[in-house]
Amino acid sequence: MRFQVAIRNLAKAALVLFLVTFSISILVRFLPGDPIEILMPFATEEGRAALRAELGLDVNVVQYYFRWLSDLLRGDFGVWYASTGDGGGVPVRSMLAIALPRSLLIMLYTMVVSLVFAVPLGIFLAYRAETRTDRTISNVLFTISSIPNFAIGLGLAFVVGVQLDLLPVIGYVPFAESPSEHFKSLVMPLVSLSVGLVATFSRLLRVDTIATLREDFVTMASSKGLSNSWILWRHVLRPSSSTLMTSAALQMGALIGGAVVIESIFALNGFGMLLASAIATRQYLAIQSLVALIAIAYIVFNLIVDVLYAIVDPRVRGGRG
Amino acid sequence: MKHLFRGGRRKVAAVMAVALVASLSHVAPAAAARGDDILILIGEKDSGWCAQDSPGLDQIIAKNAVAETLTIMNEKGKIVPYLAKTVENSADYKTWKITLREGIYFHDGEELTAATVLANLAANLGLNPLIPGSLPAIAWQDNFGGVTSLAQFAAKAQAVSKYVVQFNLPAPRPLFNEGWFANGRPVIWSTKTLQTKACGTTVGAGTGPFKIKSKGVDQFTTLLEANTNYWRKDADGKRLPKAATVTFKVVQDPAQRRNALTKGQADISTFGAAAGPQLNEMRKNKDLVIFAGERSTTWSFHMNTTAPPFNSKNARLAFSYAIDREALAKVVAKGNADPAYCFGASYHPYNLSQGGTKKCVTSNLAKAKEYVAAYKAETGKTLEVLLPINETAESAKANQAVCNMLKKAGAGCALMPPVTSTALILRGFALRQQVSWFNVVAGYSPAFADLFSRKTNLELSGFRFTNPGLAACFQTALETGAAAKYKECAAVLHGEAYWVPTYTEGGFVVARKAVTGLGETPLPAGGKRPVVGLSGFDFASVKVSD
Amino acid sequence: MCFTPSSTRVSGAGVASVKRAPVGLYLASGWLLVCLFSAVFGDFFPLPKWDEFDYDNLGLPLFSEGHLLGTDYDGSDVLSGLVHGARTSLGISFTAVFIGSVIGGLLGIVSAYRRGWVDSVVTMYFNVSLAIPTIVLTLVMVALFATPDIGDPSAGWPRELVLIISLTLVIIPILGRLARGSALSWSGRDFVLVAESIGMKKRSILWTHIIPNVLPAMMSVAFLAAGVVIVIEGGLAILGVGANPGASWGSMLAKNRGELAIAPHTTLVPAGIIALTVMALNYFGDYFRLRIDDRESRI
Repeated sequence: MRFQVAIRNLAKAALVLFLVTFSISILVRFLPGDPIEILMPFATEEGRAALRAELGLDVNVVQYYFRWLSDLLRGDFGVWYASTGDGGGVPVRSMLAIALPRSLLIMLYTMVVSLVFAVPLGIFLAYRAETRTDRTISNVLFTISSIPNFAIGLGLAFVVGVQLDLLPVIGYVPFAESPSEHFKSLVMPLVSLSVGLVATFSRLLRVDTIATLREDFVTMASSKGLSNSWILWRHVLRPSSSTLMTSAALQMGALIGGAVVIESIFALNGFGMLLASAIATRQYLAIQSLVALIAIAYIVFNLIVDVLYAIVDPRVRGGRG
Repeated sequence: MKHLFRGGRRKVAAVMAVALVASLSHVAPAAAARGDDILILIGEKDSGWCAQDSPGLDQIIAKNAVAETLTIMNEKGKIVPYLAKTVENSADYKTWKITLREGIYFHDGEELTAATVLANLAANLGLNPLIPGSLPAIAWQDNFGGVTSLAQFAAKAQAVSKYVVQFNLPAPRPLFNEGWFANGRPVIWSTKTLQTKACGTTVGAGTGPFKIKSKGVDQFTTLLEANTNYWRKDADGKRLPKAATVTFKVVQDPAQRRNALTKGQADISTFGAAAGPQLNEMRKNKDLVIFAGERSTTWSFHMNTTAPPFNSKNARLAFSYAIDREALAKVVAKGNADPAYCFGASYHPYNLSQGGTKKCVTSNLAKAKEYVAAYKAETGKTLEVLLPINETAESAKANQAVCNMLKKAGAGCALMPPVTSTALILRGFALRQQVSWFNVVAGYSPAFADLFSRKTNLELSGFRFTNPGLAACFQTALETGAAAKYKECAAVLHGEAYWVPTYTEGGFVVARKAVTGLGETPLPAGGKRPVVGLSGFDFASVKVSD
Repeated sequence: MCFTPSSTRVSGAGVASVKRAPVGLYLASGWLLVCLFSAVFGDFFPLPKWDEFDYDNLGLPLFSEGHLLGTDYDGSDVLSGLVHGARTSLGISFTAVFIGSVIGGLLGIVSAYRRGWVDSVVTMYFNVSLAIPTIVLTLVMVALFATPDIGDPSAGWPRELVLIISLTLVIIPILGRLARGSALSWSGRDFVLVAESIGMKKRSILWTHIIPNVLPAMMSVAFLAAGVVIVIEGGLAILGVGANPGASWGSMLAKNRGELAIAPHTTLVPAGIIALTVMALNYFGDYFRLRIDDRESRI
């Protein structure tokens, strides 16, 4: 039974992936500006036709898509084409090898740092609910979560980077090269991205924890005569949970976008900047491959969440009988 | 406690999902160390360096560190031989002979000979099947009167001996030797490079002081290392270059470039006049040295006359009069540029204001409104202008200011979405824009005369004049080299607003005090390169002393 | 301090609803009203035009003469920019969220109630939309629709419209999923089952039972979403695809970030205004959510 569900989920995921990449590839073809003309506006028609054939742009959209897809499944992400044709461009894979790890690391660090600070903070505030400490800190967090992360980034770059001269303002140093420089170059981007998340997550966690504590009271009260199914309905009908989850989802969406902006401000040259550059220069192959990667990441993320929820929840339910 | 994770399940999942990725760090190009490694910040992303590509000024700096030109401009503005030893011409400017220096080697070991120069010229003409013809081919084809096969090529350019090349041009070209400098673009690559598809994208062996260590894979970083076999020597005859590696890092935001310089994180950086506030701030900083290039670069709008609205003279004149050049220079360049009423530097043959205050164009809001009305009467439509911009904030700012000025004159105006500089220029040539925003880096050389001549460009690009006599005028000017003829043509050019100058600037190079040796290498033909010149700056002698 | 709505109740049953609105509610609504007023009536304020360049007064600091909040380095008055920006930022945000909520809500509720293949298709659509990154979608849409043809400049759509459309497309699945989840829960409730068993028509059940109960949750998220959209627009402006430079709060920030060290007020003031507005919107979002909690706890 579980196996069947898993297969079905995988099939759904594959379908979503297909739809996303296909619609992007069609959408992108509508962009004004023929890449061949951009590359060689003065060549003869034969020259352009030759380049078009070499780059595989002479087939229609559907064929192009499936050719790209078969390459992708073999691990070939395509080529960032240059005017010298197929052999002259840079393989997208090597560009990704530089850009992707740093973006992923930034996201990873951001999530870890945010959770490390948010979880204890949220629980602490819940235990101290309604006291002066709670109210003050909650208000501060509320304010902080409303400031755009790029504003924080710009401010930090100026104050910490220039005036106090503590950290580098631009550039990314890989871990393998120098661990200390690596972390130093990421502190300000991390702080910019994490601050808002810490504020939001701790507030969400606080409310959840309070509600849970409250529920325990109710569970005790239930032993005095309220039926279990009633409690179960209450548990199912918790719109606040979905509100919170949706709020978190909104924040995650803003985070992924915000990461691109932060990358741009701190000149980190990561995945987001690569994608923006691909769109600007009509690099169809690169766009399709990069968007496919994002879609895969998103789908994997969701699958894992569903799996985790299934793992975590029965225990919870089991515990309460 | 398990309840904790009910709300937090997505967060935990996020950690786990992302944690599936190991820390795959590749060795990216080195950050700046000190002493022998220089970090230069530029504002333009990596592009191709081969014959068919058209990089912007910032990338030309990097390109010229790797590959060099036959002739070069010295600090007095004169074109002198560089890789060439001598350049001779016949009295009628139709026969040219270039004698190369001996003993110059490329990074891949090949020696610079006449055969190499011919291979490069063939590529420039679009005869190399690996390298498709592009913008440079047009100018070169004009010199040679149209060459479509190697046989025709052999008739017009031959190797007379191992180090001597002879050119037989069908028409007089007094400026042929200047075409071999052309602001650092027609560099000489090794023959092997010209046979590689990745020419200029990831590989390229030139004769320059530095060779490519890593290029193209990371669009924002180019890493070069010293060429130990470099042919130029410093003033004491000692080996060049002085630095061990040079890293070009792209940081598009000039404020961040300034921050990095101020902190000592980078050694040198380039700035355009549009980064005015940054420059003014840096002047106050005692640890930075600012080198200002001569104000010889005129930013101009070039009008596409093949499509509305600028196929109408009224529209063009409205545009030209509407622009308040004083204000534009102030808004965009904050005192680091001059309003331009003619294009070219003051000593440029095109420049009508030589020796007097005569202006080529003027700013006049009332007249602009008149012409907008005239356009309406002529076509029945309101003048609507679309301005292209590149990815820099300065470009958006300048064009927004121009838009406001146009709106004041009663025209409509909007900005197009931003694209790269190269795309902007090429899109203009492909006639997909109403205007193109050019910097005419003409300096002394009227090297842009060929853009206006009849045969090559007018048939292929938007440089078409609806005034038929004008093209012929430029053709004559090109062939006689007579200054008076240029002025005559320029008067019509401006009078009908085919080319609208706005402000003139020079580039800026800012270096930390600890950086020594900028612009100190002598040229073999005598003199030195300007510190901030038309093809960037010479950092063969640069060392960082801390 | 009483800005944050009080968020705990001692056990659920029998607690009276909040009698007096907290001070924060008045502050938040007051601020939003100010913004809305500026958005609607900004043209009549006695201020210099927002896109006028005062060439002789570049980079004036705060509280200069004639320019209450100073000018930026193009000579544009900061205060006028903020007033005009209210219209653009709030306009884009509220429109996108409103239309997105209506469409997403309808899709979500209908698919939850109908189930079957309708539900599968709609859910698939939601998942696909969520998987496309906002940045990509907006970049592509701006390039597609806001780049007019060279021969006919007026054919291109205004940038703001394109932004509204792409942000609406982003909001639809988010609100849609929420509406669907909420409607699913409510569909299983006793009184709904009872209504069905007595033969009430599906449509009237939807209108009288399901929608009124799903709406509060959606409203709460809609307020939060409005705040997030304002911030997203700012991020897009920094990448060059936001509203035209200086036309919205976000694009003011993006335009002037180069001068952060020299004239910080040109960046910090728009950032502060964005933060205040997002705070006010978040406040409303939280407030509604707690009202829902209240209702839930009493059922």
